[in-house]
Amino acid sequence: MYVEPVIIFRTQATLNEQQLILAVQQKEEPAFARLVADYQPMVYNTVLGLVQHDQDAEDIAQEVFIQVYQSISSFKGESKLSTWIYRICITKSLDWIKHRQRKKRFGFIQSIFGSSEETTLQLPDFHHPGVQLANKERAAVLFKAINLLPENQRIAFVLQKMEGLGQMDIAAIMNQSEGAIESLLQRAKQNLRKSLHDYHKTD
Amino acid sequence: MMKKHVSEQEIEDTLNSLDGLQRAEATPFFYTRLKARMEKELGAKGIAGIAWLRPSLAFSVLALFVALNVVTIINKKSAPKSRVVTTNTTVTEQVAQDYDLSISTY
Repeated sequence: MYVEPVIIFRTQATLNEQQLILAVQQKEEPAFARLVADYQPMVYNTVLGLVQHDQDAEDIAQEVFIQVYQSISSFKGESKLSTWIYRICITKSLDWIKHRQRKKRFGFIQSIFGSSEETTLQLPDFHHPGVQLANKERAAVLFKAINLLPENQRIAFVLQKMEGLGQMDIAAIMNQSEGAIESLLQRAKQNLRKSLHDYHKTD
Repeated sequence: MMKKHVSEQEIEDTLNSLDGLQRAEATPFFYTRLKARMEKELGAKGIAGIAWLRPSLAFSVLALFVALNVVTIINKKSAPKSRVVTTNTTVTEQVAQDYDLSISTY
């Protein structure tokens, strides 16, 4: 019997999270489309906060959903689906950042031998589209400082500031205690203050 | 002192500049592009094709293949060795019998 795709999609919209997971595990495409529609803003925003480049963020967000599709059969439901997807976002973004750093180092070596590759790899100021207009310039400076943070501090800070997550959720995503996350966030803010001081000194 | 105070305030404002941030969303047709990429990367069958790449299924197929080979080897080893000797005489006799050409001696 032929069923209109729109009707299938509407049926998927009534599924709860558990049913949605089961449907995606059985590779039902409408269910996967629904999962993408539900989690795309979360995935894209998180990745964008970490990599600070819109085009690359979209590519990585696609990779995240491909990974979700391929690995959802191994998802046991021990954590929330969003927690599991956040972890994939972080892993993929960090892989990309490491890849970018390797390219930068290679570009630097090339520049020693006269190539101009390094200059093309310098990222311009990042302007997040969701930042209020009055804060646009300050946010661009803050994003530069966020890039200088150690990996764990950067993740915790981005999840708190850009996704508005509480310490309990961040702890679940990063597989750490709430206390550890609290101290991580404190150290992140200290380091950011120091970087911003240095920025204003040289400014 | 005043300059330092202004700078501290500026730093606090910068630290809080992401407050009230709205989630960014990917460009329209994200799912269409994602689907096209999955079809390209995961094979011609597209996202449905990946079911065949699942480790559980791949291991099951491999296990079945190995089991069938083992059964075949065991059967071959345990079967009695019989040699079929075909000689010209036996073939001739067989043909003669088939066509009723045998010489009858009374």
